[in-house]
Amino acid sequence: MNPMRNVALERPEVQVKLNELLNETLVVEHSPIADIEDRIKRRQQDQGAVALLYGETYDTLGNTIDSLKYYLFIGRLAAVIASQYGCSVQPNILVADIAACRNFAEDMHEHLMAVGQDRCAFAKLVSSLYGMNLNVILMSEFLHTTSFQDRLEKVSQLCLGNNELEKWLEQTVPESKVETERAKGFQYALEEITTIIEMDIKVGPPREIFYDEPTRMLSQLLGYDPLLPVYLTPTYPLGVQFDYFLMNLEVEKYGVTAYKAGSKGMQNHRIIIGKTSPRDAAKLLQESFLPTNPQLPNPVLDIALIAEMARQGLDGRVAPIDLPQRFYTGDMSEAQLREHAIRSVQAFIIEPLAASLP
Amino acid sequence: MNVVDMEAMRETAEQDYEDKARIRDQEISYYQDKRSEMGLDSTERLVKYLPNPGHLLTRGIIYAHKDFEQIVSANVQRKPWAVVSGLNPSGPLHFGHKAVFDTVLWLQQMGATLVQIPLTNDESYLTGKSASLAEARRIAYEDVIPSIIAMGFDPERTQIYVHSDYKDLYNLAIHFSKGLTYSKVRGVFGLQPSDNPGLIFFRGAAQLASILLPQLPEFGGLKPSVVPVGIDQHPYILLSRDVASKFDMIPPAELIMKFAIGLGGPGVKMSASQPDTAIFLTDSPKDAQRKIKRAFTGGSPLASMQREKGAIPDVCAVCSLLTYNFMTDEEWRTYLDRCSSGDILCSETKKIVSEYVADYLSDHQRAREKAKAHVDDFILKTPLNSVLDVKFHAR
Repeated sequence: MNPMRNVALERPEVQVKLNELLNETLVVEHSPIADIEDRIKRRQQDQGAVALLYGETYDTLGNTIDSLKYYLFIGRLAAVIASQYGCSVQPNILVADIAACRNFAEDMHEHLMAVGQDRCAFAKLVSSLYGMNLNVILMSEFLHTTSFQDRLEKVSQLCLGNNELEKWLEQTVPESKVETERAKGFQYALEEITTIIEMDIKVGPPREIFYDEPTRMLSQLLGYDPLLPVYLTPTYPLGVQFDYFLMNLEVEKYGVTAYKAGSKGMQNHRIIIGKTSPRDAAKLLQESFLPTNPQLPNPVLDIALIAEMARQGLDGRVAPIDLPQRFYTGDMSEAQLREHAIRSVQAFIIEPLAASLP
Repeated sequence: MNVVDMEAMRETAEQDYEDKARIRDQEISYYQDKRSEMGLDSTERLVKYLPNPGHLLTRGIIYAHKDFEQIVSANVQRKPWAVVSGLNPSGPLHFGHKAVFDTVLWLQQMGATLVQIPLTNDESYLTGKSASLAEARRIAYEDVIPSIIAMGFDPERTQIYVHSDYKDLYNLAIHFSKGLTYSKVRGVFGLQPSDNPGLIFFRGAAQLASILLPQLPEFGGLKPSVVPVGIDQHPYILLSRDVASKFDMIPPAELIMKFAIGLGGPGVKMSASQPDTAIFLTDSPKDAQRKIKRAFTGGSPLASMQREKGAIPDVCAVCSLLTYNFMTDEEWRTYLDRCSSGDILCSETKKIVSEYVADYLSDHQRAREKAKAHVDDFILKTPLNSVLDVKFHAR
């Protein structure tokens, strides 16, 4: 097997329709398919580009395999829209370096900004290796522009003082931090909203509903087309058994933060690109909870799905993924799925990226 | 029968159906209200996650819990954990007791490393359920312990003791009693001025000692433990959790069970002192059949109406026996659906349940006879030295 074959195909062979992609079991949790189709058709008529966005902050612990899920998905979404509708698509990956700094003490900021640059380079590498044309941008590149600041001011004026909108903003942070954020004028949340308000489709984890809903409400007030959020399934830690999920209702519901390796202190239970060895990745997958009940968190299947998207990217195609159906109907046993996930992660993610990383 | 009689009967049957539906609704809200009032968690997530949840969980008999996640976690990580559940011996075990011991057995099969079953003959005597300590002790050894053993407990991981014979426990009771005040004990147990001091000592000290015993050094030290109880016993567990914290022990978890419906219908608990309210594990199959025949059901006095409206299994003593004890989950669900739709009449259910009960009693009574020879294998004899050790108190 040569993982480097068909690298960086500009136009992948698309074998899946938009509604199929947006209905992919255990990849997409929720998506407003009809609204997305309407929006694409409108952009087609306007001869404008469909703007897609996935934004992420980060910590200092590395790039997770779970970020790849979003990079790969947004790349697949762009390819499908372009192929099915023939319109221009702009898939953006936003690395929110300024936002990342806000979670750390000031003496860490210089380091964090450098980490942001590395992350940007990593996302570009992923884009090129898996044949996507992702537009990777740093938040620091546009945050201080006049146009962004003007928009931020309008957004802030409308949000602060509006009870309903403020309630949404409060939900973007843990209860214990609401007052601190209020004192800062919900700066983080308002910048996030200002960043995403001009987008057509935003791909993110389900928890981002707390940003997306106020954004949609503001869109109407500011005369933008409302943001259409697509939520991918939550990211779950590896190498833990069902008791972990039983004891952590919030993780069961929302997962850990995909793009922060140290989310919930579970950095030793994540596959971190360039850090986690194939052997450790295999061990994590071997020791993970693997339920046959589709209503329960399935971290092994999630990783197998990411690896499958990666495989298709390397092959230069976007095709349906039938792993969940095969597993839940019993065509694939637990042992087979585990083995499949271990082999695929190694062959389609760890090895090709290791060969390409500087 | 003339038309007027028929109409009167129909009217009575209509009223009967409405009464039963009302009782069902009251029962449902009673358990829901109690759960939220007491801050207990639902067992829904346990059912989803546990690899072998067992019929008591899947059928909603164990319907609430506190901290059971810590038991699951200890079990997954193969760490020691204990189960404590006992009773006050005042007569042979009945099907109401069986449900509790079925839960204990399920927990042992799940992986509990220690099961302790205290038989509180002191309580039986103090509450007047038994004429003397000696009589309650005799009942414990002759009636209760053989039945418990016959249910299939593992002798390596099961310790049964009668309070009067495990005298070291009283030292431990004295030790823990300092974690409480009289007013707290009175508040939880509703003690009356006419109550004897022994009862106060039992409720406020001896019972706590039984619940926290598995965490003593003699039994491997601190470990999570769980106590399966009825909702009425939740305050006792709260008290023991409070005391556990005061003595740097792990507060016990609890599983809350719904009460099995007594043969007289909802509101009539199975009771050893009222033989017709319960089927005893020592009853002959014939006696059991007779009791089932006379049991309260969720059906209608008019067969035609039952076919039309269906029965209300939630209030039926016979269906309760089925729910707590017999059939696979799938068979049970299908059966109750047929019952509710009027497809099956109560006479048929009584016949089927009688057969199940008779089979169970025959098997149980055979096993019980054999168990009598093994009582000593289960009796806890470990001396409790730690409580009199100064190092223990220096912790």
